[in-house]
Amino acid sequence: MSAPLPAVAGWDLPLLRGAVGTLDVVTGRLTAWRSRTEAVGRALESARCWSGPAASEAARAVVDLSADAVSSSAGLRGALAELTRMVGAAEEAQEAAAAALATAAAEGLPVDERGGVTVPVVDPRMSAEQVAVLRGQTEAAARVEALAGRAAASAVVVAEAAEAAGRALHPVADQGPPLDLLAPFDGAGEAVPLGGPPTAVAGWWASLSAGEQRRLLATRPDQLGGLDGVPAWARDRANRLVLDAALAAPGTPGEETARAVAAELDRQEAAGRRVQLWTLDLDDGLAAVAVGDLDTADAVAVLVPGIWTTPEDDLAAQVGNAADVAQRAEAAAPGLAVAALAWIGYRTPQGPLSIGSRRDARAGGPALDDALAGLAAARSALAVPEPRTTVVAHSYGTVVAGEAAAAPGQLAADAVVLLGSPGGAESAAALEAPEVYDAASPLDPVSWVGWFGPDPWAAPFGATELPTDPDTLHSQYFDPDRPTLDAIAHVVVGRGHA
Amino acid sequence: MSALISVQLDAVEELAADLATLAVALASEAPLCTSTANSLASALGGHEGLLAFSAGSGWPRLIDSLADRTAAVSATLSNAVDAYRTLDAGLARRIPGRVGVTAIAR
Repeated sequence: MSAPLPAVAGWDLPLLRGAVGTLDVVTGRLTAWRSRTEAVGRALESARCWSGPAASEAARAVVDLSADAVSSSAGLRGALAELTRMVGAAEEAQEAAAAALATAAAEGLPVDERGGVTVPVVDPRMSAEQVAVLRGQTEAAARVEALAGRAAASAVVVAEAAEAAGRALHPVADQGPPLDLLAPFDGAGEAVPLGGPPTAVAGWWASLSAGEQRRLLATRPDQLGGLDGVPAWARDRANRLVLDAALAAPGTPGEETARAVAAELDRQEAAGRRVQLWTLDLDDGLAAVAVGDLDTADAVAVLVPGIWTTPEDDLAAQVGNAADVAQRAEAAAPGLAVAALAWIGYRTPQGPLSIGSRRDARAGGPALDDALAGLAAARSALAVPEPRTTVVAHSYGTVVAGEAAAAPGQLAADAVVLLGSPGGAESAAALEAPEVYDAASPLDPVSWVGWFGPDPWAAPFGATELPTDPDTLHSQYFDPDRPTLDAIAHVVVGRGHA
Repeated sequence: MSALISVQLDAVEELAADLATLAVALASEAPLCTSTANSLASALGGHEGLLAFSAGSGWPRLIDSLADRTAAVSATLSNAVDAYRTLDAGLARRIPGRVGVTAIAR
């Protein structure tokens, strides 16, 4: 039985909307809470912190907790969807109930709680005028009853949706069965969304419990290590498994790349730096290494290199540049956590013909676009604030940045820094970032050849100039003794430039 | 047993404290959810309000339950750290000056 018409008309819809909105906010915060809890679980798993059977059991307990949080979040989201439906139905019910009551009042018709209206019957002794009035009231009564019927039908939906919301919530088990992390995993049941948009991938990953994530990492590291939208900690874990496998089987394709990557990781970790292996593609000879934690950093710099850059020959230098940027950025903004990603994520031009062509940039641009979108999506799927993200592109890398901006969708970057650019975009606005900076030196011929478009240092382009030394050469923008590095660092942390 | 067992007690204690903080943070959401469930009931009243209240009450129930489990895991970690320290202190007391004396497991 639905609510009486006056009661429906008197529902406090602002209060109802506000209450459902509050539950929505709390549900979002639970997602963020879960990601913080899982970070504790990962720290517990770290052999540096605790190893042995008790450590494994403790980590397992946190994994179980994560599974409960995932299940709870799913239930709350389901219930929230029903409550949202309930609010919509309540709005319809109230609108119809109010209209019914208003119509009845305007016609002077008595209406009962269920919307029933009684109109006197026509008496043959009535005058023609009286009959006309009665006929008008009869028509009005029909309208009132139709509106009341609509209100009642919507009120029924309100009750159904509220009941469904209650059913969607399942209590957390007091003591679930222990999860066997080493149990065989039937991967056939879980499709990795390869090729999906980063936001969809991030949503899929966030929907998995920590136990499911670990089992996928153990069984499909080759698919997860380069999947944009997956958090950096998971990509790092997957790529290191792939790396270990490659190093254990000498003679496999990409062995030289694997050795260079492993050496660089060892070198950085020996120096006490936290590094994440964000990309490792041994078939195509690609690698990306982050200094810092891409999942939690307040500011992220993505360094995009130019021609003739390969992991085998240049990863150490690229990661060195990233480390310098991160270090100067943290010095420029004490207390801010900075991560810098040395991204050799596209096949850089290697031959005399390709260096003058956009071909490699056309392949690299969408890859960079997806990488940036993946970094952002991995955060937003877990309701974690996104970092300030700056693309720092050098030389031909600026052409790649231009192609990334030209790819469908907005570039997920707050700033773009162009260093020694041979052109690449038509204007600063075309780069789709709110802030665009450029550094060019008189002794850097690449910055004034204009091979790929207008010179970014020219005023019409619309970029803000960063300082250089008059004798800065094309390969010296990251030189610690020159002013450009500090200027880049200031941009990375959002403090303008030095 | 040949497996390596190692533990950084301060680090584990810190993680236990992190979990305890997370448990408190989550539990602090429950009163807001309870009052929100009441708002659902007030906004609609009657049968519909009762059903909405029942659904809204699921939020604090789930959140309290998760917070309790988190606090329990945190307490387990703290207890483990205490147990390691107690065990180590006990071993340390037995070792000096007792070389050659066979320890009896208890």
